[in-house]
Amino acid sequence: LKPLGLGIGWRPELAAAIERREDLGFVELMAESLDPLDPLPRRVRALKKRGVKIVLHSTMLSLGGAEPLARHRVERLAALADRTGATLVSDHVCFVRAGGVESGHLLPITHDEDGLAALVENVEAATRVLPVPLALENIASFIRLPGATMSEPQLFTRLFRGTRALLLLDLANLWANALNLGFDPVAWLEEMPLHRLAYVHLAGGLQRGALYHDTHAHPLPRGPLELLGMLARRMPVPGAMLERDDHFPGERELHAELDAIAKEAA
Amino acid sequence: VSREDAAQRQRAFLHALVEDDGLHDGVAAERLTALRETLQRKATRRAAHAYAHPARTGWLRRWVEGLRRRLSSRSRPA
Repeated sequence: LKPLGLGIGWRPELAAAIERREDLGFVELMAESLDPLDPLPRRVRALKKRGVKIVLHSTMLSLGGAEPLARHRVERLAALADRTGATLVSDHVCFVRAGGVESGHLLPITHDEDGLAALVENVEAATRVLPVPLALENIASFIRLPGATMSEPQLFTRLFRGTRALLLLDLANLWANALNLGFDPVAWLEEMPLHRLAYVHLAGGLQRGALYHDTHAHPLPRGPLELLGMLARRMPVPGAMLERDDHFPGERELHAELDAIAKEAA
Repeated sequence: VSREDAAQRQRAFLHALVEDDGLHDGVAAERLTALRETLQRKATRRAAHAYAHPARTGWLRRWVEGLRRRLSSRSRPA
């Protein structure tokens, strides 16, 4: 996979500010916001014409779900990847539904042999259908499910040993989890299988009471940026992007956050 | 069999989160509450999106309303 460079999650509210950013290597599109039968938004087509790469980001595959993988969801994502000319697709190591209930949220899986086996099976099944590589993201979570027999980096290491998946490293999620669950993010990073790194997510959050919330709706704090800088000193970072989903900032603030990401990733 | 065990654990956790009495072995109650609040916030945001685009997102509106109903019924006093 060729390096992606600097990126951002494309949202209609940010389209004009994104368009005026000439150093973007890629934009990430939310798969659930697109219809495989519709044409791409005009402004995304214009970016593509400029050579900006497309990455499709999904939140609905439930790859960590122990119930059977919803094949129609993978096929829809595959059709979207074809339609958009995506370089890469990504989703999360999590589950989002069980017993007929859709949580609407990325929920943690148990880090044990059963959880790993279901995850590997699902990822392999999805990879067979998808026309481009699949990258998998570490989620933010306030909780760890009981019964873990391995750490999260160990789970990713074994997942990558059993599949061809790549890593979408979310440093904001790592930062949030380190604060909320009380562990050392640097030691976590050192244990991760970074040789599969495809790209990095960064986003803002907010402290509410005792917990840090990864909101994607507040300014980017220094913590995740410092982790990015540390990562870049250790290895080339193939891609790094900003996610902003709500309370959209003005163009100057948005571009300043992109500048900070570009600086740390260099 | 092990996959079915894992599926059962996930169903039990999700049930405790959105439909049951709000407790799950090995998970602190206040963390479950925080997670529930996040689900509510996301549902509210999605609802705003669904009402803004009713023709395209009727399923989303129905899902959001269902989830909010379940979450609010479990936070009512017994």
